Amino acid sequence: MSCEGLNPMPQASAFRRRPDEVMRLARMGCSHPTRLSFLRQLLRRMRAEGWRFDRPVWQIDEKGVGRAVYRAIGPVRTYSLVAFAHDLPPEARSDRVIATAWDATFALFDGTPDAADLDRLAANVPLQEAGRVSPRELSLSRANRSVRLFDHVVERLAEGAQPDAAMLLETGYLMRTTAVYGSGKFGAADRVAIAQRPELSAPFQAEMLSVWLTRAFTVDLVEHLARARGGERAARLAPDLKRGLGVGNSTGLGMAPFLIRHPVLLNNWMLAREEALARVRAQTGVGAAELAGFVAALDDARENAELWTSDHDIQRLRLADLRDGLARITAQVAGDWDQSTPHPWDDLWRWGCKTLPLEGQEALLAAMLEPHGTLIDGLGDCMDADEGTAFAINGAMRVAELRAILRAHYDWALGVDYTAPDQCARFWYVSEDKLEPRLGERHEEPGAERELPLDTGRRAAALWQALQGQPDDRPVAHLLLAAPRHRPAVRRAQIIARHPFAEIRDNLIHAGMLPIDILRCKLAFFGATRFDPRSDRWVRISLFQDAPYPDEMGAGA
Amino acid sequence: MRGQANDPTRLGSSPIAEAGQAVRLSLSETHALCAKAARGAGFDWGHAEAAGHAAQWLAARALPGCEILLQRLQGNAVPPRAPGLTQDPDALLCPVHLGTTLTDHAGLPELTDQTTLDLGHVAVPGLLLPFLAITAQQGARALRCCADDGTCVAFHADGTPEGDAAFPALCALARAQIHMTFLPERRPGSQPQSPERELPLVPQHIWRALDILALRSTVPSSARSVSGAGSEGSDND
Repeated sequence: MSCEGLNPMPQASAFRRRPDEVMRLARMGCSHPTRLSFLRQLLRRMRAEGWRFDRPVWQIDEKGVGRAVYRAIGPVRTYSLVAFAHDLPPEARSDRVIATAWDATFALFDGTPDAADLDRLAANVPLQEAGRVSPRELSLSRANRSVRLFDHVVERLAEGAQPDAAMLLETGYLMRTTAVYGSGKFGAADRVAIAQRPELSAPFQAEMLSVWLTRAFTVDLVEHLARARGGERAARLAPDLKRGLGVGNSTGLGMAPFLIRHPVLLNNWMLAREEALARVRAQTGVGAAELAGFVAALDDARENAELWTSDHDIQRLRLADLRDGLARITAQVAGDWDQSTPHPWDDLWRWGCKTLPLEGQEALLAAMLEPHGTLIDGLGDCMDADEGTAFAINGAMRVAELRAILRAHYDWALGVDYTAPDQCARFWYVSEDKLEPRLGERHEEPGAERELPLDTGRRAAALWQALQGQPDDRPVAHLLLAAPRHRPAVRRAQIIARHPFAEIRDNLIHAGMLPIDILRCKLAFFGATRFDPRSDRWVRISLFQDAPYPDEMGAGA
Repeated sequence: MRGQANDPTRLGSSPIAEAGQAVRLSLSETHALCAKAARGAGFDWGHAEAAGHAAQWLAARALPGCEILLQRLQGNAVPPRAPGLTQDPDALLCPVHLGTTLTDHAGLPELTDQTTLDLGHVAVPGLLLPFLAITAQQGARALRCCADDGTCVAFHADGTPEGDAAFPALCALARAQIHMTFLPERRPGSQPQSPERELPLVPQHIWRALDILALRSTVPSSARSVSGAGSEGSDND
C-alpha cells in the first residue's frame, strides 16, 4: 500500500524532510526504533484485536531436549511457533549463519499443527538450511543460548533465588537467533501468499511473531530446567527481570542488500516515518498527555543509552553522541523550549537539527513520535509494497525526462569519478561457498567481473553519460535496445521519480562505506535495540526487550 | 548449494526431492535461482532479472518456468533489433529479450500504430507469456498471440489472461513463428484471480542444471571478505 492518497494531513507536507537529507548512510546509520517499527505494530495489533495465546505442547525433558508449540490465536487465523530444543555440546557453538548446530530450532506454522505436521517438522526444522519446509510454514529460525547467562539463570532459579540483575542487563537475552528466514526461503510460504492477510500485511510480521514467541520459549525453558534441577525449591523468574529480557540476534552482510534490492519497500518505510515526523512537527500545540509521553520517552531513551554498550570504536563514539544529545534535549525541553509558539514541535525539531549530532537528531525523532500514536499509527498500513508494479519499464519516457530525474535525484552520484581507487574500492558479490552476499576489495581480490548490480551510484552515472548527446525526444526503449546494460539503472530512476525515498544516496562501493549503517537502518525498522557492531559488517542486537509476554497481553501491560 | 546434511552452505534453493526426483520451489526461490542462472549464462543483469520474473510468473500459474528457462539458456537465440524486426529473418529470437523489447515499446508507435505484428521465430515462446501480459497492460490494449502450430493465447487490456487453457501448449513449444494481433477490448474490467494453485514440481536434473549456471555468477570467498563478517569466533559468551 502507498501513503499517497491516504494522507489526511496535507498541511504536514510543508514539514517533510527532503530525501537527500534523509537517505544518507551517515544518518541512516543513526536510526532508532520508533512506534512504527514492525515489532511495535505486531504488538499493537495483537492487543487491539484481543489475541489469545497458549502452549498446547510442552514435551521437554529434564535436559532441555524436546519440542513445544506456542499458539497465537487471532480473530481469524491461528499461528503456531513449533520449537525444538536440542542438547548442544559447547564445542559445537559458533556464531552466525555458518554454525551447523543450534540449541533450539523453530518454525512458524500457519494454523495449529497436528501430529503428522510436528513429525514432518521434526525431521526438517533441526536441519535448518539442509532441511526443507513447506508453504504451511511462514518462517524458519534457530537460536543459541547466551551460555554464561543462561546457565547462571538456571542455576540461581534452581536454588530458589533470582539471577544477578546486572548480568541480565549486561547481556539482555537468554538466547540469540542467528537467522530468521521467511518469504519463501527453503520452501516456506511466499510473501505473496500471505501479504493480503491484514495481520501479516505489514512487513516482517511473521518473522516478528516468531521471535516474540521464541522469547517466551526461552524463559519457559530456563524455568523448566530450574525446576528439573531444583524441584519444589525452584523459583520462577521475577516479572521485572523477565521483562528486561529480549531475544538476541546476530546478523551480517546478508541483510544489507535487501534495502537496495527493494527500493519501493524502502521508500514506503522511510516515507511513513518521515510523514509521521512531519505530522508531529505540524502540530500547533503541545498537549499535556503528549508532553508527558514525550518526557517519558526521553527518560526511557536515556536509560536505554546508559545500558547500551559496545566495544566497537564507531559505535562507542555514536553512543557518546547519543548520551550527550539526549542530555541536551532533556535540558532544552525543561528549559528553553517555548511551547506557546505556532508550531512548538517544529521549533524543537529545528533546534535539534542546529544543535545535535545525527545520533541525537534521530533519537529526538523517535521520542517525538512516541506520544503521537493517534496521529501516526495508521501510517503503519502504508509500509508494505507491491513491488511487482515496479518491474515494467516505461519505454515511452523520453531522454529529456530521464535526464531530469537523474539530475533531481542522483546529484550525489553524477559528479563522482568512479575510476578513482577509493570511489570504486569495493564490489558486492555472492560467495560461491556460502551463497551469502559479501563485499570484496576490487583492487586486491579477484571476482569483480561477477559483481552484483548494487553499485547504484556508479550505474546512475554511467546512464547519465550514455544520455549525453542523445536527442531529448528519444524514447528510453530505443536507448535500452542499443545499450541493455543500463536497464537496472533506468528502472531505478523511474522508481525513484515516483518514490523519492527509494534510493540510498551514497556510493555503496566507496572504500569508506560502512555496511553496518545499512544494517542499523533496517534493524531499527524491525524495532531492534542495543545495536552492537562487532565489525564494520556484522552486528548483534536485541528484539522485544521490555515488551510484554503473551500472558501479559490482556493485562494492559 | 551442495554440502552434507546439516552443512548450511545454502542460502538459495534446496535440491531435496519431495516427490520422486523432483523439488517444489517457492516463487522466491524460483526467481532467485533463475535470475542467477540467467546471469551465469551470460545475460546482463537487467535481462537476468527479467528471466527470473518470467520463470516466477509461470511457476505461479503451475507452468514449467524453470524448465523452459533452462531450455532457453542451453540453446542459442539472439535479441531482437526492434519489435518484429530482426537483422536476420531466420534468426531465432530470445523470448526474454523480445519480451522486454515488447514491454518497453508498449506505449510507442512501433506497437501503438500496429494492429498486427510478426514477432518472428521465437525460442521457447512460453517465456513470452509474462511479457505479453505486461505489454497488454502497459499499452492498455488487448492482444492475442498465435504460434504457427495454431496455439493462441490472449490477454485483456489490463494484462489479465483471457483464459489460460493454451498456456501449457505454448510452454511445450521449443520454437515457433509468433504472430501478435491487437484486439479491440471485448470485456472491460478484470477477471477474478485464478484460484491458488500448487507450485509446480521441478525435476531435480533441471534444478541442478540451473544451479550449475547460477554458480557461475558467484565468487569464491576471499579470506579477507570472510574476515570481520562474524564467521569466526565462539558463541559461548
